[in-house]
Amino acid sequence: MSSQFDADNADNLEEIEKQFAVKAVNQAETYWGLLEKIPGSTLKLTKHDDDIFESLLQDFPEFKEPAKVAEIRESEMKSPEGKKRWRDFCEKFNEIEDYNFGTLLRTKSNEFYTQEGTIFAVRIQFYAIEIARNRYGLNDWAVLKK
Amino acid sequence: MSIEEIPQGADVNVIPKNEKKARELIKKLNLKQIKGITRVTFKQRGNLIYAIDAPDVYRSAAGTYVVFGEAKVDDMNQRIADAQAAQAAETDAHAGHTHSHGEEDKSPEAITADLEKASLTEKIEEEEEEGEVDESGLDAKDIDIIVEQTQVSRAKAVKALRKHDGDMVNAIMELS
Repeated sequence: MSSQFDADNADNLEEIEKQFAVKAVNQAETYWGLLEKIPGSTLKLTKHDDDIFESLLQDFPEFKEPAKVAEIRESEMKSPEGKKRWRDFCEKFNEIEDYNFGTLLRTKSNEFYTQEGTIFAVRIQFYAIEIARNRYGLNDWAVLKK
Repeated sequence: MSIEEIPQGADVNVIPKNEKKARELIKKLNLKQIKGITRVTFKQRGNLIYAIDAPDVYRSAAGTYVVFGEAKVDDMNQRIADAQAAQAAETDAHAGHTHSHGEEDKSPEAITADLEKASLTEKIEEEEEEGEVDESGLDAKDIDIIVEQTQVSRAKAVKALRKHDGDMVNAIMELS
């Protein structure tokens, strides 16, 4: 249906949006379930983790500093300047499944997905930030918590 | 659902008697026809897809849909083969129409054949799952994690992981 979908005559918009939110929450829950079982520092998310991490450090040298990854600022990420940098970054990985899907992202690596501490990003941003957090060992606390 | 056979590209629209009746009844149910829908698909386990091209779609106030049209099995794995076969079948059916009117009976048979073919394909896939699992190119540790998280067979974990190109979260989401 996707290729034939006629946006002008689309019905049930609200339902579709709900479906999408369900998927985003599912994704967040699944990811969190993994972090509680497996230390983030040993977790692999995709086949391209190395590439994503390398590109992140190249395009956003500030993320070489673990503290910058631990707490990200939505205002910086979504400023006109930030948006442009991220857009260029995202397009490098447009081969990855769901790369531009809306995805929930925690602003602080030391918190669970909370109402205030969760922002909206695209999947590849989620990967980039979470891979960096995992590599810096910033998510390992989730396993110990249990 | 009633089945109607419209060979692609045919300009004559033959509606069987039963379907005509069904359509009239359904119109009495106060359904609204939705125009502009070019394809309806049903997805079944095993990546089998039943597709109805150029369907007539009606919608009730409660959000129930009634779809008229010719269902075709659209197996992703054999898409090309099917497309060729369907084209040949359509040519035959089309030729048949010009000769006699009794040819409409052919559509249920064609559907049955499609369904049989579909169930056969599914069996083959299941057998493959039980056989030796090819894990090449995948990280054994990733497969372990998925098996542990979702309690599925190793073969299923491998399949999901391959489908999502090594994406852990997506693979687990599909299985749970």
